[in-house]
Amino acid sequence: MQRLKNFASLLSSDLYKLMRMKSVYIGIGVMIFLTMIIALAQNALTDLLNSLPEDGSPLDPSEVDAVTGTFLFTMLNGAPSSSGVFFLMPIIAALFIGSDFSSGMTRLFVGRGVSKTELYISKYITLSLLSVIYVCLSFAMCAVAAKASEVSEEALSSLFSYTASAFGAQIFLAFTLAAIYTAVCFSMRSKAASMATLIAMLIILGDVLVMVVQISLAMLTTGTDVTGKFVYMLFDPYYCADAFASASVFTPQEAGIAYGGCAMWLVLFFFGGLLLNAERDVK
Amino acid sequence: MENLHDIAITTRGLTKVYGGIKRVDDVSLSVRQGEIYGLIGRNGAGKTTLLRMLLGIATPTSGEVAFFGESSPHALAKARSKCGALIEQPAFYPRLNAKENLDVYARATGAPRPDVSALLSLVGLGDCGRKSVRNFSLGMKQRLAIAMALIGDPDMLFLDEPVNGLDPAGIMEIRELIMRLNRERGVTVVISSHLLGELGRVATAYGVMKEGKHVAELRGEALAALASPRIRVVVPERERAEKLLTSAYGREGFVMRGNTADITGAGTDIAKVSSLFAEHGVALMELRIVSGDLESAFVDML
Repeated sequence: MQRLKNFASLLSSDLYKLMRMKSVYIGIGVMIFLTMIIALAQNALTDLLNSLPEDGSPLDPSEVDAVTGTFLFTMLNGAPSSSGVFFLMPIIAALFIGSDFSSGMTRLFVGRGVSKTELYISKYITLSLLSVIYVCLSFAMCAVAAKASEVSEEALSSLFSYTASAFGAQIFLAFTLAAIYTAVCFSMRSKAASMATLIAMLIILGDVLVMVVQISLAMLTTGTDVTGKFVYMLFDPYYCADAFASASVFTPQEAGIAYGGCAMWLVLFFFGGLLLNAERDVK
Repeated sequence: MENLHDIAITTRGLTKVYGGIKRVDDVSLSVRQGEIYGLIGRNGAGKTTLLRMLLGIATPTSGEVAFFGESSPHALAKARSKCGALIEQPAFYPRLNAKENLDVYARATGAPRPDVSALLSLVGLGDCGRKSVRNFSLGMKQRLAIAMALIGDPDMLFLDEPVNGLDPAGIMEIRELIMRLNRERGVTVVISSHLLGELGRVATAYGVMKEGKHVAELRGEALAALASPRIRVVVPERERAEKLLTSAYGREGFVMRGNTADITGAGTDIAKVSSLFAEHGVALMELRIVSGDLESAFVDML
């Protein structure tokens, strides 16, 4: 019972520290800014489409809806990607966990009988909570932006019908990415190294790898459908960040690979980081 | 025979290997409850590594640590929750102020919420206001680190170079604080310091570290003997003098530094020493009694 009480106290200390971090609020500001930019871009796109016909006659509203709807679909159902959540979180995680190592506070906590495992779990819970809050905020902001857009009510209603499943998938992904952030930061044990590694992972696993696989598959399977093979990229949680926008239209196989892959990475990173941290001396 | 209940900390064969080198080598020591235990040694002698292992920050390669005779992980964690520590350099969150730092630390370690103002006043930081700790001077940071170590009324304090960066008045205040905590609250203190003179004013027992090994543990009579007067001789012929002193007092009875020998085995009988040299025809350049000096004695051991 006392141990549980002490853990709750440790968790409250981490939450307090997180609340005092300026970067958390700067992150929210960045999310609002990015969402506004996307919303403005969407409206500009709609205006552009409306002015396209050369004869001056108005474009068929359903065609405009179809194009802007796709744009809005990506923005809303991939809200965390649209508002930069998965770019902001590695920076905040590195500052949050790295500062404990850089400042020497971890040494003091462990010297006072706080176990390394408790420190790790507390940090994971705190980061998961922040990730979930950011994902919720990003969906709220993108929903407001979508509502304010110049598309028909019918198209909007169709868009929002996918949002619940995308939201659920992105929340699940938030827990997985929090596990990755925690494991990497506890392995690197410094702000700069953690930040550099996490951003490198985001770029390499989320963009470069996806592009390389896409190109390779296209080259190797000329003339055949590569979609079936490309679905295995869903094992990559960084790729899932975008792909989950389409969660509602996943086939059962795709959904299984996406959720199963995420669950696998969550377990591997969480326990891998935990074991590595337990083995090593505190810096 | 020591009563096991009087022993606060024991280590048995404690060893730590980093990069294939034994930083701490087979250290067995005991710290009694209520003692101020000074850990001395040159840079790299293994003092900080030893303290890190005592606090669980580093895991021993082999050997065992026990607090109050208990060495199970649960017992160690429980005992460590009542330990205050200042290890290596002061640790704190630079963007928070002193009060916030103390508050976060108390929460994280599950210690009772401290009377932050009283604690800050105790270490001489009563007027630091809401200034971020990153703007503190080195001495203020050191004081804050000591305040953090005192959170939760610890039973034991581990202080690694606690007076680093402090001005003479600060050194005196911290010394008095340590002695008061020890005297009034019975806090057991383990201090490592390079300042042997300063350590000599507070410590009641000493552990001497040399190249990772714990070469001596001194308390009570052994310590008093070390501080007793000795006879100093300066000779022109080192080899002959050394041979003579070894045959007369044994290897442990004197310390030779260059052409100077400090003889501890002869008490203060200067006439006897003079006769010894005269009888064997060994020339003397200087012969005198020097008062006991712990600092010099420790330097000889290091």
